[in-house]
Amino acid sequence: MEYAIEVKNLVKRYKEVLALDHFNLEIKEGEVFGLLGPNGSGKTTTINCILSLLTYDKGEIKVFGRDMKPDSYDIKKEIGVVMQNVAVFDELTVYENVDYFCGLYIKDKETRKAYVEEAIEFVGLEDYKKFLPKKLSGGLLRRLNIACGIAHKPKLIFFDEPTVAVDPQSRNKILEGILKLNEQGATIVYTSHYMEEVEQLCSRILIMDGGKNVAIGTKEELKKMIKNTETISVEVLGLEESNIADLKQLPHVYAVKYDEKAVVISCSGGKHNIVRVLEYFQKNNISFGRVYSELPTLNDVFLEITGKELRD
Amino acid sequence: MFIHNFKYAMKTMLKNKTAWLWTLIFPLALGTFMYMSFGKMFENDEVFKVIPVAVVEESSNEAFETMLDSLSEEGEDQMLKVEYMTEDKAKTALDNEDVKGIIYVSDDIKLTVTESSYEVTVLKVILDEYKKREKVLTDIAKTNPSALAGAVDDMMAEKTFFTEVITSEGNQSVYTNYFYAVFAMSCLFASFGAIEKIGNIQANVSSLGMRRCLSPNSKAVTVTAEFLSMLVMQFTVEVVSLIYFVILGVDFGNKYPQILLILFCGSCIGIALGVIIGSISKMSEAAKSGICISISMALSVMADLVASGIKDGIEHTMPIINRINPAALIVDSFYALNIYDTYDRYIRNMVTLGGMALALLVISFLVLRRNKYASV
Ligand SMILES: Nc1ncnc2c1ncn2[C@@H]1O[C@H](COP(=O)(O)OP(=O)(O)OP(=O)(O)O)[C@@H](O)[C@H]1O
Ligand SMILES: [Mg+2]
Repeated sequence: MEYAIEVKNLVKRYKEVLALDHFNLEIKEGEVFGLLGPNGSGKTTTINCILSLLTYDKGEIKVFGRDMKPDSYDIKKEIGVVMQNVAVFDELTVYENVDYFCGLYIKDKETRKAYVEEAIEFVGLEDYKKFLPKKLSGGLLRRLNIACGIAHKPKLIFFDEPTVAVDPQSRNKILEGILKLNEQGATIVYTSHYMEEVEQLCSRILIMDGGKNVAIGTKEELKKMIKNTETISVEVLGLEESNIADLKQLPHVYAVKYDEKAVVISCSGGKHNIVRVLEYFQKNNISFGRVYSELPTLNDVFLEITGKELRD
Repeated sequence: MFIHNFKYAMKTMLKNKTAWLWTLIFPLALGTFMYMSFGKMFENDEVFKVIPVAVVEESSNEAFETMLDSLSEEGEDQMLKVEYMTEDKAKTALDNEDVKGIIYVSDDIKLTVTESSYEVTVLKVILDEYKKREKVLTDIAKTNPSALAGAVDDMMAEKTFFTEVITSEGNQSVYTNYFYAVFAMSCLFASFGAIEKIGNIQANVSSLGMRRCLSPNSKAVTVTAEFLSMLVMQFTVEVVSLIYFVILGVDFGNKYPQILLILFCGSCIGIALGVIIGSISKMSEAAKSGICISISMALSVMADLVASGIKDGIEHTMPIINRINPAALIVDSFYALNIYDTYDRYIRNMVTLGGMALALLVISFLVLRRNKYASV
C-alpha cells in the first residue's frame, strides 16, 4: 500500500508550548482523511510541518514516500493547500487570483487556462470572475480561497478548516466539492473541529488532543472503541434520588445524569433500552415530555477517551 | 515563471491605485510647491534682465556715477538702465513701475523702492558692494580721476563682485537644487512600497507569503520579479517628474542620459532600502513603515534636503557619511554633472549607489531565501 503521508514521532515546540508530542500519522493514497481535534490541538501545526513550512524538533516526514524538504519542488508540485486563513490578492479579480496561483504550478498557457476555468466552475464562482475579493461575501471568499489552492489539480490536498464561518449553503457546496476531488483521484487531508463534517466526509479519522494522537480509525471503528452505544434523553421534572438509582439498575445502563429538566441515560449494548426506560416511567406514574435516543457521536468518543468535550 | 510573477507583480501594483498615485503625487506636488514659492524669483530671463532705475543727482559723486555708467553700458553684462531725472519725475516713474527704484546720489547714496522683488535685491546688493569699496574709489576719484574708470572696471571684473553675492541670495542653480532634493526624497520614499510587497512573500508575515512558499518555485524568482516591478514603477515616476519639472522651466542642463542614470540608481537604492527593512521578519508592518520614515527622513536631513548646514557639519566630523548617504549622493551627482567637466565624481557616486543597492538586495535575498520557519 502506498502512503501519501508518513509522519513518525514528530515533536514541535513553539518556545514553551509543546504543540506536537511524538505525533504519528499515516495516510494512504486515495483516502479522505480527517484530523479532528479541539482548538489548539495541533492540527494546523501538523499540516505546516508536513508542508515543510515549519521547522520541527524531532521526527521524520515523508510525502509520497520521499523525504519532504523546503525545496522538494517535485513533491510540492503535487500538493494543494487550502489554508485556514484566506490568502488572495486584494488587487486581483477572482479570475486573476486563481490564474496567478495556478501559474506557479502550471507553465503551459492553454492547460492553465482550462484548469483555471475548471477550478472557478468547481467552486461555483463563474458569475464572479471579474469581482475583486472585497466584493465577495465570506462564503464566496472561502470558495475563492479553495479554487486558488486546487486549480493545479494536485494529487494531495490539505483543507484546514475550510468551512469556518461559512453559511450552510456554501458549506455543503464545499463538502460536495471535496468528495468530488477525491473521486477524481486526490488524496484529501481535512481538519476540523466540527465532528459532523468529519463524520460525513472522511473515510478515516484521527482524533488529536494536546498534540497527541488520541484515537484513529473509521468512524465505526472509533465508535466501537467506547462502551457507549446509545444515549437516551428524557424530558422529565421532579425526579427523586431513588428514581435515578432505579434507572441505574436497568440492564445495559452504565451512567445516569439528571439536571432538573431532563435525564440523560448512557447505555452500553442491548437492544430495547428505550422501551425499558419508558416502561419504568409509566409503571411509576412519572409523566415525561420529549424523548430522544442518540447513537454515539465522535464527541462521545472524544469525551470518553479524554474526559473532555470536543466542542467548547 | 519569472514572466508570470513579473506580470502579476506589475498588475497588483498598477491596480493598487492609491499606492502609486501617492508615489507620483509626492514629487509632483513638492515640485509644484517649489515652483510656486521660488520659481518667479529665479526665472532665468528675470535674473539677467536689465533693471530700469531712476537716478536723482543731488550732488555729483564721480566714483559712484562712474560705476553706474559701467553697469549700464550696453552689452551682455549690462545690469542697469539708468535714467537721470528730477525727484518728482522719478517718483512718478516709480509709482508707474517704469523704474524699480530711485537712487539718490550725493555724498551719501540712498535707495528708494516700493516693493520687494528680485530686482530690488540686486539694487541693494549693488549699493552695498559700492559702499564697501566707497573709500577706495572716492580716494582714487580725488587723487587720480583718470584712473577711476579703470578701477571701477577692475572691480567689476573681480569675479566675485556681483555674481557671488547675487548667487548667495539665490539664482537658478540654488533653485534647481530644490528639485534635486525632491528627486532624492522621492527615491528614498520608494522604500515604503517595498515593505508590503516583501511581506507578501514571507510565509511568517502573511498568508499570501505562506501560499507562495508552498509553490514549487525558488524565492529568487519571486523576489527579483517584485523588485523589478517596483523599479519600473519608481523609475517611471521619476521620469514623469523630470519631464514635468522641465516643463515648469527648471534647467537641469542637457545631460539627460546621465540624469536618467541618477534617477535609476536612486530608485534602486530606495527600493533596496525598503526590501531589506521588509525582510526583517520579526516586526509588524507598521513598525517597518516607521523605520522607513525615520531612516528616509534622517538621511534627507543629513543631506541638507530639509534645512541647510548639517551636511557641512558632517563633512567636518564624519565625511564618510556624506560619501554613502544615498540622499547626499543623489543630490551630489546632479551637482557633479553640472559643475565638473570630468565624470570622475559622478561615476564614483553612481558606483557607490549601485553597489550599495546591490549589497542590500543580496543581504535581503539571503534572509528571504529560506522557506522554513520556526513559527508562521
Ligand atoms: N506561531 C505560534 N507561536 C506560538 N505558539 C503557537 C503558534 N502557533 C500555534 N501555537 C500553539 O500551538 C498549539 C497548536 O496550535 P495549532 O494552530 O496547530 O492548533 P489547531 O488545532 O490548528 O487549532 P485551531 O482549531 O484553532 O485552528 C496551540 O497551543 C497554539 O497556541
Ligand atoms: Mg488550525
